[in-house]
Amino acid sequence: MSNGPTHHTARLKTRVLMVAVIVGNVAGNTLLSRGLHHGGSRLSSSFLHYLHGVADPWAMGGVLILMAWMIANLSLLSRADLSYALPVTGSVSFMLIALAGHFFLSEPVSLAHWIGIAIITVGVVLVIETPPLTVAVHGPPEDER
Amino acid sequence: MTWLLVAIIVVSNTAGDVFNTAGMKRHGQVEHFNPRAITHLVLHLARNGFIIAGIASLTVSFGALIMLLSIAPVSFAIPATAASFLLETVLAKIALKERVTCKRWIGATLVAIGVALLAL
Repeated sequence: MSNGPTHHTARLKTRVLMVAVIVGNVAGNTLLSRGLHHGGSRLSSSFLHYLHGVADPWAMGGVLILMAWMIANLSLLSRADLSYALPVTGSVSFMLIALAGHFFLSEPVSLAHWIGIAIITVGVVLVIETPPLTVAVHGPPEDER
Repeated sequence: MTWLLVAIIVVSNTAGDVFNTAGMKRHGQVEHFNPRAITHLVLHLARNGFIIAGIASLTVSFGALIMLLSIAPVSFAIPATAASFLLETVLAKIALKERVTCKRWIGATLVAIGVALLAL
């Protein structure tokens, strides 16, 4: 594989998409959780109860961000392996969600959480050192679709 | 009920990610991100069987996640699904034929352990 400017730009696009997926996941889930907890925490068998919860402005904002996250995630999966993208985007999102839960929703971060965050960081560094794409992408060039 | 919801989330989320990856590899690399290109992308993906199956699976996962988030704190709800990291790595190798090197296996395992610790 060439290491020219085209390869560099492609790799940069993949990295930018990973950041967008991480930020979208954290922002969307945090807003959604905040919106759903507005109405009180309880499990319901009624779909209408959850529909009402999603109608909360915070939850609605979360759903909109998660829709944008979905497009960014699909675009990322067109450019990188699932086994490369998921451990990085998923786990960094989890770390940030734990920290966002701590700072914005007053949820506790225990010693186990901090150890978990350290282990995840080592895992992410290992995965990110591997080549992002190891399979052929079969689709035609974008202009011909 | 809490752990049943976690199991539903893990299975449907894994299926959704694998279907979506298979669908996007058949679609081809997404290069442009302006509004017109994104509209075109969404319309094109709406006819992709893998993506339809993937979105359907993720919708089930999302519904179960909303139920879980309404009874558990977000810092438990999300990390509790850590098993999906290893399950998805196994399926990425078997179903998607990705080259999962030793370094990637160790990285994914550490990530799963770390995420599980976040659930404690």
